[in-house]
Amino acid sequence: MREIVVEGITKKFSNRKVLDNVSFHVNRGEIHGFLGPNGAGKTTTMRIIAGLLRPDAGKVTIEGVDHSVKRDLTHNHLGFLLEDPPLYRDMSVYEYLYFVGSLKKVPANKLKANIDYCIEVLDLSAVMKRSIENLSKGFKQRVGIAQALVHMPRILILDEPTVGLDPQSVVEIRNLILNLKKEHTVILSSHLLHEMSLVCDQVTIISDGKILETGSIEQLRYKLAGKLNIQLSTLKQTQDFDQYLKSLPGLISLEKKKNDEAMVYHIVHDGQTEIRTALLKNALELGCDPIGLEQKQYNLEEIFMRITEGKK
Amino acid sequence: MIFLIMKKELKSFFRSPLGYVVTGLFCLVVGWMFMHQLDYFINNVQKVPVHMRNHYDFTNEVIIKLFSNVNFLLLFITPILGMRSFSEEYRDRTIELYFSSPISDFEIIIGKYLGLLLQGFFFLSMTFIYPLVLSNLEITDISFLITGYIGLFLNFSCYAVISIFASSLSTNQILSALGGFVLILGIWITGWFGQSSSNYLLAQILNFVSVNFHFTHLLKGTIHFSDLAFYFSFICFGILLTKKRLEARFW
Repeated sequence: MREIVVEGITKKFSNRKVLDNVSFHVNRGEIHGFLGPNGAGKTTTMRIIAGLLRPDAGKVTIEGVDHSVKRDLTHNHLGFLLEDPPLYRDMSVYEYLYFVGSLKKVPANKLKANIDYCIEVLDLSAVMKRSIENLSKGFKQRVGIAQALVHMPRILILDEPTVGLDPQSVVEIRNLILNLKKEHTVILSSHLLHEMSLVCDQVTIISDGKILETGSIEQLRYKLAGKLNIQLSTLKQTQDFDQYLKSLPGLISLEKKKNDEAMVYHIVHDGQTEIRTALLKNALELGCDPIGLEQKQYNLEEIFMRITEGKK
Repeated sequence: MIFLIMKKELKSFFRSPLGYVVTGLFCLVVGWMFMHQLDYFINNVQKVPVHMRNHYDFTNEVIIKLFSNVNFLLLFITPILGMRSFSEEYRDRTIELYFSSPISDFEIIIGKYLGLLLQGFFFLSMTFIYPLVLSNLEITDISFLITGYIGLFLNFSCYAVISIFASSLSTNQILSALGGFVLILGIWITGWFGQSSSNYLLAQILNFVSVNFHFTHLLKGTIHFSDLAFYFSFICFGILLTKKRLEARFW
């Protein structure tokens, strides 16, 4: 079910078009990664989804309700952490979460349980009575995530939630986000592409205010390189085998290069037919002495680089 | 929700060192002014023949001047108190907590405004000690005291709404305080022009939009409906301007 639908949003700041006809959707219960270089329009899109900005054109619907028109209906469905956490430095962690929960009109009896939950999952118990001013950057970031969660929204928007965190905390936050997936829909933006590939079900890549690609990592991988991206290593090179490779039905591209003693063939195939067994068999029969065959897959970083560079 | 925001504003004031510094300075300056006025009055009375001493009205010479001096100090203090209201929230992005909550802009402004009014009441309460000290002398007119304090509080209410509006214009607190000061000073200057204008109609208009013109009536111990209507309209207009400013985030 489509929980958030962004339809053709355009936003200008002083005649500079920051977003240009941006459309994508986020399904309920999924973690949706939002990727793009600095200044691509990620935060502006997230601010529009959060209801902090209004688009010049287009609309955002949350469960079918136009968010820009009926914000009252959608307010409490959303929790967000955008850029720097919005913290009152003179408050203690507990007091701050209580204040934010009260602002969101969480009933007093439920609020205490919500705060306890946030403190537990974000490991804030050691600092809950400390003034926010005296917390480390990592803990401030955790408190920022806690405020987004304190009213138990169905949708969470997290812009760079792991900024400033140590590697252990990054793993903890990753696990937390994966746990949240059970009951929440998450829109996540981060430059840690490896982390994104571990948690995201779908990704949207944006650059210069335009959506370049949207879909699952698998779909993008296929779109970019075809289904099969094979690297075959042989000890010998024969003209017959080269001829065989060039005549392969469904071949998208073929590259070969000498690597030490071996010859490495880089074959991109449309994947409509299974060719790996035939490749090995023909390499043996045509006297190439195959020593290795591996299926290469683009990781998210390579996908991101190829898509953003390809559109420049 | 208004009460929640008001409480948060008050807590924030009493936790901030700035609040205590400003309070301390205010008490010091008002105390010095009061002592100076009292000293001046006593010295003059002693020099005046006994049969003429009634001309030296204690209320006029000490109490009303004390109120005028406090009013003058509020010109500087209110923008400092109000500068944090929105500037700090914008700077720290905490304003987004309000904007993403199921509360109206009006509730946010009123909550912050009431918080600031209570801070103003706290400041004015610091001066209660002076009439109290003199109460045993039975030389002050209690009605002047009541209307004087009402006037001071209403003036503060106007300065506060201007300061809150100025605070909503900038993320820089110093600029907000400066903006608030200039706007309040503008209202004062309007009154001075009103007093010196030879054009009757213009003078009436300028006087009417000046808070000090209405304050003068209250200092004289009289409460006119038109004065109260002016203060009420002024505050409503200030709140409306601030509301429009907050709505500008969607422009």
